[in-house]
Amino acid sequence: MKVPRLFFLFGVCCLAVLIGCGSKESIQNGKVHLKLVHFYLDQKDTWQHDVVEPFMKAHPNIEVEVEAVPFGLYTTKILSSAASGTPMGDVIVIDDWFGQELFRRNYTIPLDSFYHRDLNPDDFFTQFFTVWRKGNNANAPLMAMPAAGGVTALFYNKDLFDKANVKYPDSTWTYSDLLTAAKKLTNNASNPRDKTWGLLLDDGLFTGVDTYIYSNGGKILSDDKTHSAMMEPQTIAAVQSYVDLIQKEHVAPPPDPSQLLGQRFMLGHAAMMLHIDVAKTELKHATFRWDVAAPPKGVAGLMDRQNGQAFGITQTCEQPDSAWQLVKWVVTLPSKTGVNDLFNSAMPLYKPLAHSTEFLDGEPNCNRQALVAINNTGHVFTLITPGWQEWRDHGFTPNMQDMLAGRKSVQEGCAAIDRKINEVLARYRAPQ
Amino acid sequence: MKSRTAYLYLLPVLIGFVVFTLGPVLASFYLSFTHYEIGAKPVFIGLGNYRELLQSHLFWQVTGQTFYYALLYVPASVAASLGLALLLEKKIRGLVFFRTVYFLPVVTSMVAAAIIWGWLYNGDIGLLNYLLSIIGISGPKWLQDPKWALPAIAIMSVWKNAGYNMMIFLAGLANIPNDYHEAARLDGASAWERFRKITLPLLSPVMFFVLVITTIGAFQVFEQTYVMTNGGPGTSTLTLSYYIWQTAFEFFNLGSSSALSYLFFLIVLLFTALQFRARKRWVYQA
Amino acid sequence: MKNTAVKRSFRFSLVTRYALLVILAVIMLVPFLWMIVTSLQSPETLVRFPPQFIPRSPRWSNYSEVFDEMPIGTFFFNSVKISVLGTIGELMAASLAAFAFARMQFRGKKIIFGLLLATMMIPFQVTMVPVFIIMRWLGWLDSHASLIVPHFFGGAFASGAFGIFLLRQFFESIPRELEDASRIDGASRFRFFTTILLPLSKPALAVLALFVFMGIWNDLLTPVLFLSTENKMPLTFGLAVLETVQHNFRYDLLMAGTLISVVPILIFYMIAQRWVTDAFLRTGVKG
Repeated sequence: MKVPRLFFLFGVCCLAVLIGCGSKESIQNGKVHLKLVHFYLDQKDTWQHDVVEPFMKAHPNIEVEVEAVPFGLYTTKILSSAASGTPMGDVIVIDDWFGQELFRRNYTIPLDSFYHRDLNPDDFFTQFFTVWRKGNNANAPLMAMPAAGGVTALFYNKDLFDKANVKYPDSTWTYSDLLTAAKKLTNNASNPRDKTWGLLLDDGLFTGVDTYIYSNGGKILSDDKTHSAMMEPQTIAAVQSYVDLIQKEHVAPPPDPSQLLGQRFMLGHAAMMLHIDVAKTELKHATFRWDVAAPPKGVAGLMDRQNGQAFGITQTCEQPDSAWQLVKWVVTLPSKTGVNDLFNSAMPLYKPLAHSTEFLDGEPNCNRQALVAINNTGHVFTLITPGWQEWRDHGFTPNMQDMLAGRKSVQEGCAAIDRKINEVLARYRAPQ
Repeated sequence: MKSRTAYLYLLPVLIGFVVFTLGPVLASFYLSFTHYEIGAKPVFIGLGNYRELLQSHLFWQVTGQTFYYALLYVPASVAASLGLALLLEKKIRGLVFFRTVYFLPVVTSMVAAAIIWGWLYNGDIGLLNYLLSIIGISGPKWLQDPKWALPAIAIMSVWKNAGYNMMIFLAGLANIPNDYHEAARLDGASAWERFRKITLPLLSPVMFFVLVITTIGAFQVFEQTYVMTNGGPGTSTLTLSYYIWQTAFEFFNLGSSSALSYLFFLIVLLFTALQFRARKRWVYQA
Repeated sequence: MKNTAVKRSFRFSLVTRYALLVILAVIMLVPFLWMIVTSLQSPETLVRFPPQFIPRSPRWSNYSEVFDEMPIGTFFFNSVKISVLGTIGELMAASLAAFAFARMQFRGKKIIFGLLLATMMIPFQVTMVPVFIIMRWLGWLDSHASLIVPHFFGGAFASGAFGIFLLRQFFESIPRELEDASRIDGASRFRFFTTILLPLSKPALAVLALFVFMGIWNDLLTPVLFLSTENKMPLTFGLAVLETVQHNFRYDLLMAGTLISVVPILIFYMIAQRWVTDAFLRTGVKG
């Protein structure tokens, strides 16, 4: 029985080899070496071919290495590296929802001097910039260069509209037009399989509720974002009318937390949905005809939450000038190719790109002009505060779900959200 | 003298324990007394994190839900896997086939399984309610219903993990000498008697192991809720380990999440200690 | 008389046994079959309702599409390397420690065992950041060593205690007389351990090997944390890439990728299972 002993011997040898082979730092042969970290895994090739390679051709002295991290683990990785003091790349993509967490800790460097030196603010949809400034303050330093933005859109199923003989939505629609159409489009089949709904609504902040509340005159946060505004009468009224669409008018089903809204829409059982515009990529393989329109106007006009992605240069980057060249390249994309895919078809914030045929005619094909036009008519607001995900996940979303499913009254639900928001914000207001 | 040999055998594990577990655990123990957001300097705040947690309604609600899940999951899971193992204990035709089939869910990634089950559980057009409607039952909305969401996750987890403990039980059953059964059979003992008097006592150390492991696993339930419900509807499927993860990597508050981890750790430790205490009552020792 | 009664009850039990086995097998298989069916759908038929239970024109190209999408071969090799070496290391460390716990008396035994067991209850998220710092300090970031070497020391991520606990339970069930006999023959303790105890514990070792292998094979969090070069990544990383495509409603690709990642574990399982069966038969004969 020599096998077990050999096994141990083999094991010890392996161990010795492994311990010996720690990683070595890569040598830079006279070239500037930059590492770009992003989470667009499914667009990895586009990033390589349409961004990195043309950039290196235009800048022969710069070498770019790409690291693509799965989206779900991106923040975990970036924050672990931040906590341990290990730099993660030179140029990183930042999503709006965790951007402020990085900026507060100076994970990235201010870009104002670069921005004002090389770019013209008139070329950008600058209303989206606040969320990328330190402390969410319009006059504070710009900590990351905004690249793409998301708006809320009204998606509609043309087949169902035609079948019910209803006119397609357009930019003149108000919320009462929406309700009228939704009523006509809802059929009350006894078999749940044959049932079609006029509308699909969600419970989360990213997916349209916020747009609904603000457009209808309500507010979730006070203007200085230090307190909740959920108990303001207009807010309660706006939430009530949102809940009524499901509970009273029965034109929409309660949200299903186990499925993405876009996936439910894909089934073709609902005629419209109010959702963030990047959901259009989910509809690439829809078996019905569909299109997008601007969301309806409410008493406060059209209000949209600003969100999107930006590029930052890390504090530990040794070559910020070269890194800025890369950031500028990504944001303005001189070749325009790939602009539709790079950000999963989110709208570029650089106007020449947003108005380019490469973007407007990109797949999936829909009325993108209507979405870009929102920038000229709509106003944007932001809900990002320190700890905002906590009040969202433990306050806003669960109570919204309870209200939409009829388990809580609007008064109760809004009061619970109000308490949670104030509790979280108070913690961050307290001096430490 | 004797101790020294023993420690020689333990050396690799002890090194690993100190470097990769004890050190990090002590570090995060310190963090639990601080206000620490990743990337910033930790600020010592004493028992502040603990006080805030123990006073929050959500913490107790989540703890209750975690216990409820364990209560649903552990007995069902242990019974199911013991049943499977007993069915497969005898040499019969197709043994390998059945064993492989029962083990399939274990090797499937949790994410894929959760996605599939999310689809099966769909309240309106899911396969499960369709099958139930055939036999005249109108099924609940499963994951959309706060009353059913946690049981639904428990059912899915039993399906996913039964094969795991089944393997441990099978290995345990393999270690029971056949002679005992033969002798008992000759004495005229019925199958049930043999199971009660021979199999169960001799299997009890393995049973104990499975019970402890499964309970710990139940307390740590994470991926299922992460993929299937994100803690919803409402906060009805929020469990402790998901809460810890949320606090650290979504709310970026490492201090509070460390405190939460230690409370969680204490709860599990207490429970496991109770199991060890009760061990002498029912576990057979050779 | 008595004989036929026994026979009848035997036959009855065999029939019930098979009936139960088949019913349970169906329950176990339905979601899995659903996964295979999904992996052969086209994006268009995927969302059709009522669903196609048997795809009329199975789309095998989903599988080749997965292969085209990413360097599956490299991922696969990395997964095999990390999982095999990690499993070897963990079996070694766990069996040595379990032997000490099962068969030796020493000071602090209870405390150490309790501490090890306690580590199983600590969620990895707690120790993650400190472990990350240690890996950087060791210079193992972006190297497979960070994923393998900890297993030689009983597993860095709390999984190690499980193996020690499992093996200890089994070692304890092996009669002490065996050791006494071999010690009288003049064999050293280590020799008893390697030549008698370990071979006798094959079922337990095979089960542990399977679980450790599976744990490493299916792990995504640690590779993503500690590695950064794509061609060092394991197969789960590829799966994560596919998961991002589910947002485009490509469940078909996700399921095809999952199946590809499941097959190697199934093969490993078949091998380990033969060992278990083998040991089972032999103990059955010897008693």
